Amino acid sequence: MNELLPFHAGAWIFIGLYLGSLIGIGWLGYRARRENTLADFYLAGSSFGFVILFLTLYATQYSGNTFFGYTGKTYRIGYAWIMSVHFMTAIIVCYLIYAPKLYALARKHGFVTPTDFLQHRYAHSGLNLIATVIMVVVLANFLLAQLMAMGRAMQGLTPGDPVLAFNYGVILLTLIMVIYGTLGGIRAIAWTDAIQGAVLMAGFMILLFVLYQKFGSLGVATQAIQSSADAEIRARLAWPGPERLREWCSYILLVGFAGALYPQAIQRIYAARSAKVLRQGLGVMVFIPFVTTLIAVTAGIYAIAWYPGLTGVESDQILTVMLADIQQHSGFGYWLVVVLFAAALSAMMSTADSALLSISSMLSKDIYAVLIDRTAPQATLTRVGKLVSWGLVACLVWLAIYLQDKASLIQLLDRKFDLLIQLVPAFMLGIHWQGLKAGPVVFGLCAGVVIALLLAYGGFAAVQGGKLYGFHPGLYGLAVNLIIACCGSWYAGRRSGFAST
Amino acid sequence: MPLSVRTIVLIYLVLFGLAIPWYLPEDPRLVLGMPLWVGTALLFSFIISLFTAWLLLRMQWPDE
Repeated sequence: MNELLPFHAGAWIFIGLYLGSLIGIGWLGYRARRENTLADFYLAGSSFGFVILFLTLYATQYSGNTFFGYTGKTYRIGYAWIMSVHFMTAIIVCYLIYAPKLYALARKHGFVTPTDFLQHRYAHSGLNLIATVIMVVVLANFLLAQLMAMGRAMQGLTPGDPVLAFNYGVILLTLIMVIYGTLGGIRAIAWTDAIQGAVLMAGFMILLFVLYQKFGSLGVATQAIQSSADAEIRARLAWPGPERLREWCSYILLVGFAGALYPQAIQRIYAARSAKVLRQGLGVMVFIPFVTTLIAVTAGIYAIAWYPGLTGVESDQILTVMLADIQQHSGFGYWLVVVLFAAALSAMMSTADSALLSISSMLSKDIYAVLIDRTAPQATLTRVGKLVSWGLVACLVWLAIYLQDKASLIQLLDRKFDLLIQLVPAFMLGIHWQGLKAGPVVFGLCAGVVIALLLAYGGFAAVQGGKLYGFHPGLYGLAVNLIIACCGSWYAGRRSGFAST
Repeated sequence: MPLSVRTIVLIYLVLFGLAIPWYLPEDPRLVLGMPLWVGTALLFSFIISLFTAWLLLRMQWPDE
């Protein structure tokens, strides 16, 4: 048995009410708007208090991938995926590098998109354009992964053709998401995030409770793995070797730096009511990996012990397999799975809607208003952003349907961070070092992207499992990127120093 | 006494260095139902979280 039992009418009514309430919140967000401007639509006039800010950060950062992908990854590699706790913590640590100064600048100069900071700092149209394209591509990739996760979640629930279930699931959920997102902008998304964040947190707690009830303590599962006759299963308990330890280090650097540069997270920095609220929100967020990622890893360990045998893309479905088993035991188990399913949907939708809104803001303000119509009023730009959301989502839904069962969720995750991390010099270094020049930053960024992509897709024999010597391609790109940006700026600084003397 | 940026970076390097269990050899002992190296990695991860939260709550940001 590896599919969930189809939900009864009562469960569908519960999920339908939940999804309907999201559209209702979108409508409330639309009613609550104060003015028809980009700052109001995309940042809610920087009015987020602690609770909303924390829940929207939480719901945005923890996606459907945390539920399904991380459980699946633990299932494949074992306890070593505990590194996910480290890299999710590292994201908050990396915020410390630039969020304090960025927040102050954003308040002073009224930033709406991440590119607004680059324009303020470098005033270089080429850098603005390249950085925007990278962020849009990364977010579109991220959004696509969420849509595919939505389809997979729906697949097991509906009797009949799984392909149709995937297709209709993606279309219906995306439609709901884009309706409330374009109605109420960031207000609707943050308010739905608050609900989705609360449901998600409840879902993770319930998952832990359910696993403990059904399988006993973690120690029992660990001992079951230890005593397995299959050496491959026992290996998932073993101390990670040098290659895996390098990968561990690589994930901390890659996800820590790149995760802190997610455009939608940067916009949440802008949207905080005060620096104190932002500090408090991040101060709580830094403990969240222990009640989300760690629980997903724990679920993966239970799965290794009690549900051996799945491989490849199938292993991303391991959580569904476990839930199907729990669901059959009692009416209580059935309803727990219904709530967990709603939590998983929450995780996917809340991450996807934030990515979509961020893309729409960048395409409207940083592309349309710069390249197409420089005199467009704010109301027009907001309308363009909404239209772009619908068009983009239509393309991505088609792509999700086309790509189903063609790529593992973790593979999708790896590439977007390799690209996003190339923005580290522009944002994190540039905010502190006034000597950093736009030209070398652009050259460094381009070189970093080319190296990262070349290593990832070049088919080199030395690149094993998408990594070279255990490190992600993006880190090699970043090393070259930093050298070019720093040496180039230092050289340019010396030349201009000589010129002025 | 406020910590300098250099001290903060050094503390993070040490903590992350200890959180990755490179220094623990294969050990069959279990701690709280998990292998010793997993327990150690989680312990240092929690210390990193505590230190970060402490920094966030006591640090003054530029516009404050």
